[in-house]
Amino acid sequence: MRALVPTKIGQAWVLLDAEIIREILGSEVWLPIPGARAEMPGVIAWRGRAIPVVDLAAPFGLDRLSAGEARARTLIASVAESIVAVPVDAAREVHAFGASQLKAVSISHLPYAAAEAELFERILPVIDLRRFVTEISSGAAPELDRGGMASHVGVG
Amino acid sequence: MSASAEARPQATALLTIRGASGAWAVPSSAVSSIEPCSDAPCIDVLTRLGITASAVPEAARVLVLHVAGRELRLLARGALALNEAGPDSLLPLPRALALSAPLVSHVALVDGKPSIFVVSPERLLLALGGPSSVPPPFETLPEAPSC
Repeated sequence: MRALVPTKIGQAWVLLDAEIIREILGSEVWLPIPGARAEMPGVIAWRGRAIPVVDLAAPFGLDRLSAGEARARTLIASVAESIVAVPVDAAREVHAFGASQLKAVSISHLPYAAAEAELFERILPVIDLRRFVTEISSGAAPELDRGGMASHVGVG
Repeated sequence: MSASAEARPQATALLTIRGASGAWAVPSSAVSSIEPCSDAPCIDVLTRLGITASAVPEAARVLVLHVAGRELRLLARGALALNEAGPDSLLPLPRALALSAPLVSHVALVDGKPSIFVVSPERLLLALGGPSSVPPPFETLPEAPSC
C-alpha cells in the first residue's frame, strides 16, 4: 500500500506521498528572497531554521505565491536531503492505495506527475515532489517545459 | 564566568534598511560610516539583487563598509535602524536558495517571522571581483549548515 495525501492547490487536487510529509501547519508567513525562482521563492522559519518554500502552483501553471500572500496550510516535507515548506490551500486525510489502484499517467498533463489514482470521483495525479525539489535545487527543471495544468485534472 | 555563559552565542547587530521596495540588512560590524549621497559612485544593492527600485521618493544615504581591506559604498534608500538579532532570530539561508540568491547569507526573524534578508558584505565583495577565496573567520556571520 502507498499512503498519499490529497492536497489542493488553487482549484487543483493532487496527491503527495505521505511518507515525506513531516507536519501539516496552518498558514505561515514567508519571506521572499530576491532572485529566487518562482518554484522556490522564499523561506519560512521552522524549528529554528530557515527552510525553502516550494510553490507547486508555479510549475502547474496556477496563480503563484506573491509577496505577502499565504495559503491556508503549509506542508513540511522531507525531500532530497532537505526540508521544504509547501504552501497549499487544503490538505485532507491520508488515503492508502494498493498497487492496482495506481495507474500509469495517461490523463494528467502536470509536470512531475508520476502516477494517477482515483479519489473523490476524479483522477488525481501523484506528484513526485522529491524529483521536483531535487531538480529545482540544482538549478534545473527540464520538465517544466512540458506545459501547465490540464483542464480535467482534479478541478473542484 | 561559567562555561555555559561562555558558550552562549552572541547577538548580532544588524543595520536594517526599510524602504518601499523591501527590508534588508547588513551586519553593522562591517559598516564604518553612513554618509549623505554624493556624486561618488556607489552600489545599488537592491538593483544588484534584482529588485526594482520604488518610484516613491525616499531618503537615500550611503553605507560605507570595509571588507577585507576594500571599501564598499552601498546605496541605502529608506529608514535606517540598528537592531540586535539574537542567535535564535538570525537563520542561515538554506543551501537550496544559495544558487539563486548568492549575496544573501541569512534571514532575520521579527516576532518569530522571517522579515529581513541579510546581505553578506563578503559575498558582495566577491561578486564585485574581490578576493577569490575568503578564509574563515572572515565571514561576518556564520555560514549556513547543511540543510
